[in-house]
Amino acid sequence: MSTNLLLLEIACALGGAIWVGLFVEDNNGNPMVGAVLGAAAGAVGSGIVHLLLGACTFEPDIGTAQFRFGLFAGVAGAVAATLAMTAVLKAGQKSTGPGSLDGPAGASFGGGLVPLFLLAPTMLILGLFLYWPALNTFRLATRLERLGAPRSASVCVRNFTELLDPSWPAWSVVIIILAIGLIVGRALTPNDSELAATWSRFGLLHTGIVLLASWLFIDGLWSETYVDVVRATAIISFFIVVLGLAIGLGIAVLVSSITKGATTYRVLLVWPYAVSPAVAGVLFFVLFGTVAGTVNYILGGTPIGAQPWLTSVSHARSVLVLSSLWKSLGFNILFYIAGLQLVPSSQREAAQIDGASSWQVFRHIDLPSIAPITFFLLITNLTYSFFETYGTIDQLTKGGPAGATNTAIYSIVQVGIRSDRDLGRGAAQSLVLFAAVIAITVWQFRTTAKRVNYRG
Amino acid sequence: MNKHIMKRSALLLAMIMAAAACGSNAVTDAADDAADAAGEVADDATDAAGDAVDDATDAVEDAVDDATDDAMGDAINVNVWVAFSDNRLDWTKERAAEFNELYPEYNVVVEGHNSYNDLFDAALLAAEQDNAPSVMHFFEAATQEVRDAVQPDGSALTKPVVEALAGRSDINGVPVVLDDVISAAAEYYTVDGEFTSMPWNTSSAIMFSNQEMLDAAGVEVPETWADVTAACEAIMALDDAPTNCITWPNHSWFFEQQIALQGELLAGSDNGRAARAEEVFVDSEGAVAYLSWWNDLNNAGHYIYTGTQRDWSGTYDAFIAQDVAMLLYSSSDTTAITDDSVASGFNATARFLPYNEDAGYHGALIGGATLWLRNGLEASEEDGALMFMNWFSNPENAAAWHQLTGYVPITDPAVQLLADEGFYDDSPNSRVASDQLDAAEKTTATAGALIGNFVAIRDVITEVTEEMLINGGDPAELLAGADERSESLLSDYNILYAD
Repeated sequence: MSTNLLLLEIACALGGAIWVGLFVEDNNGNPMVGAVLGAAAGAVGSGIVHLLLGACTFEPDIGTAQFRFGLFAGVAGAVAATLAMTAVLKAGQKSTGPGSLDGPAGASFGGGLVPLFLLAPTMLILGLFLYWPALNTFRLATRLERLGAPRSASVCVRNFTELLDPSWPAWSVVIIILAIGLIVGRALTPNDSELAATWSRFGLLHTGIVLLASWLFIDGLWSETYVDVVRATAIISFFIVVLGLAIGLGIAVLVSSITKGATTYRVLLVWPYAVSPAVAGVLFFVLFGTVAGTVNYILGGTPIGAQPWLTSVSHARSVLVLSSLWKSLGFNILFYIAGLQLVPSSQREAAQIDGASSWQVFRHIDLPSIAPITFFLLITNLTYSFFETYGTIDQLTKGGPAGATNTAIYSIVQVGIRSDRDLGRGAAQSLVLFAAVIAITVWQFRTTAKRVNYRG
Repeated sequence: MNKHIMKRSALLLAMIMAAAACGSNAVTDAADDAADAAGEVADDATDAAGDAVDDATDAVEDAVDDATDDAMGDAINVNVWVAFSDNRLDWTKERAAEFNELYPEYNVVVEGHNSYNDLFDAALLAAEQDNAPSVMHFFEAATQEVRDAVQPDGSALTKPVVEALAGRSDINGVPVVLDDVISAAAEYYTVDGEFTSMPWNTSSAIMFSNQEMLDAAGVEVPETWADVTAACEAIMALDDAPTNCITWPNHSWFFEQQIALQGELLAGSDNGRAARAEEVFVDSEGAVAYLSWWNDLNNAGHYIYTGTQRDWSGTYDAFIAQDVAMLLYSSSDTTAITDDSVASGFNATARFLPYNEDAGYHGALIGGATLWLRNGLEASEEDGALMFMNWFSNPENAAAWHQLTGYVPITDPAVQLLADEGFYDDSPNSRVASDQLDAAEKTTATAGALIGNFVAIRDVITEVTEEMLINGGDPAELLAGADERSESLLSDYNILYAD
């Protein structure tokens, strides 16, 4: 075992010991027992990561990038194991602690085997078709593997380090530090102080700086080649989600006020959702094609003239966003119409009697009431823009021009299956996308979900 | 109403799938049931469901046909996978039916796939389950990878046809035509002295010009790059000039053609023909010259880029719509381009691909695909596959295939047959690709490169070209980057395949 690995293990054990020790002490337990448990969690967490990697990042000629990635992965494993340990301790404390009111909820099936038995069919299917392939993705990501090849080879974490190259320009470092300062400052301010009022007055600016800093941090993580993919994905997804929700809500509000022929209207608005993403791509290619496109044919006869729809970076992205919006808008409209119907009319009437304008009614009654729908749509639209735009891109732009629409999912299929046929690199990229989706969803639950009011 | 029909169609489809999976008795039963169901559906079908019903009825007929075929005797099945899904697939299926009638001891079953890449993946996956078809249709860029591909037991996926023929001049009465194959194709597919696969659809890249536009501008059909640039200047100066002068798909095949035309190699070890290629020359002098010429045409507004890589249809449409005066394209569509141009009100003239006057004319490459024989077949099945391959490319079939598409007549007797019939007198465009291949020097440069991971390397080349066309950039610099990436793709490949 290399000295570096040993040092990593010791550091992780120490970190885990301190963290869990302090946690246990805070909860009136024995800090020594906590420290021992924490040390074990830290060491095992990073140990498992390097056991799976075969400690390849500590081999002599591995290069700095992979070595650092190995350290990072080890620490990440240790953090995950330590957090799991505190969660277990917390749960244990709850069920055994004095004054616990938690009894078994709902019906009881008696012995421990029956529920397991009942769960088995589901777990079998999930395990076979979901978890096992998912685990295999991790294995594949460390290999050079190809369909039809007589053998495969280990490439350690090269497939990841090729995508990563953390470096930030000085000005973005300044903004990131500023944002961290703001977050810490806000956290340290007592909630009832005068200073807190000042904080909330600049709430929007505060959020803006934090968002900008988060983006700058993410943008700086990637290598020169992969950063284009990250940016294309971020820009395209951002517009699909934001415009999709805004336009969907706008149309839903308008449609809600229609009484005559409402069903017909709704059906007409929703049907593009039944079109597959690939067909949407074909339709918009017919409209916006460079040579034989209908739009340019019409524009050619006006003072505006033909536009480089698929040969300019910004135009091509706009057309892609437009076609994706057209395809997915029906879904958003449908849910918003349903949501708006659930807003109690008594609240609206009360507000109107109090002299609220229709904008105020919308802003302060309707919008908060449909927040759960918005939250739900935020996540489904994000998933749509990340994964389901593949067909549209393939028919419309093929990831071009010059990589402008080469989003993460498109890149995965190109690298992993269609062009490079490199299953390892494809797997590594899909794990990056997987991590991004998890991170964004967790972030949404943490921030947006707080403002969601499920009880009207 | 609609929902009702959809439900029934779905049921019907499920039945047909079940029928396909069962034995012959079950097939007949299920097919009967399915036919009944189809009758019912047809009764209350609306226009909306019409297509689905048609498909279903076809499928039922197929199922019934299969069932009867099986019932008729012990014909040996020969599965043939073809990477076409259009009229070229229909033509192939018609030939297979003809073959089955001539040689009832065999039953050739043709299955179409959407693209070369799809078929390649499907074949490798089928091989993993020991279920690969007897004959597989792979494109030229996959040659190295097909030669390297293995079945689960470690044996090669394919067997060189010349080895399977073992010197025979006929197989059960079907004359062997492998020795008659035109030399350009024979050279491409002869590796280590062995003819590996049976050439079928073979093309070359040629140039089509709008004769009326050239005449209006008072220029001859260009022969060199400089001629093209000069012709474009003249055409674009016309009062009724087209939107742009020239276009061609951003496909690496044209890049490879131009490297060969300049007599340069694309890969090490004599284009991968002396030994496995371990380096590529994507940034060679010829490559930089070609991209620079292209870049100048683009910057001058003579070339129009449709915005997507490998865009065959967009460039085709631009030429037919008379948005451009010249089109570099595959000869595979010669018949269609000639007919469509007449329908569109002009005459298309086909000529050789323009070449770099500074490097001289060395010769163009073939493109297209060949039929590969699966390794490890039973002797009788292998003979059936060989019979079909050779019969399929007999002079009459090869000539008909050429007339249908524009792929070159694959054997010399087929060329002779067409010449004797006077076909070329009426269709001079159809002769150009064959002549261009004949005009090539016989060198490793014009034989074409065999490279592992070629498809990915091709995509690197089209990617940097697109970067140049869209965002500008220095061709030499872009190609140097492409070369580095290509080398890395090749070395990854060789780690997995090289001995």
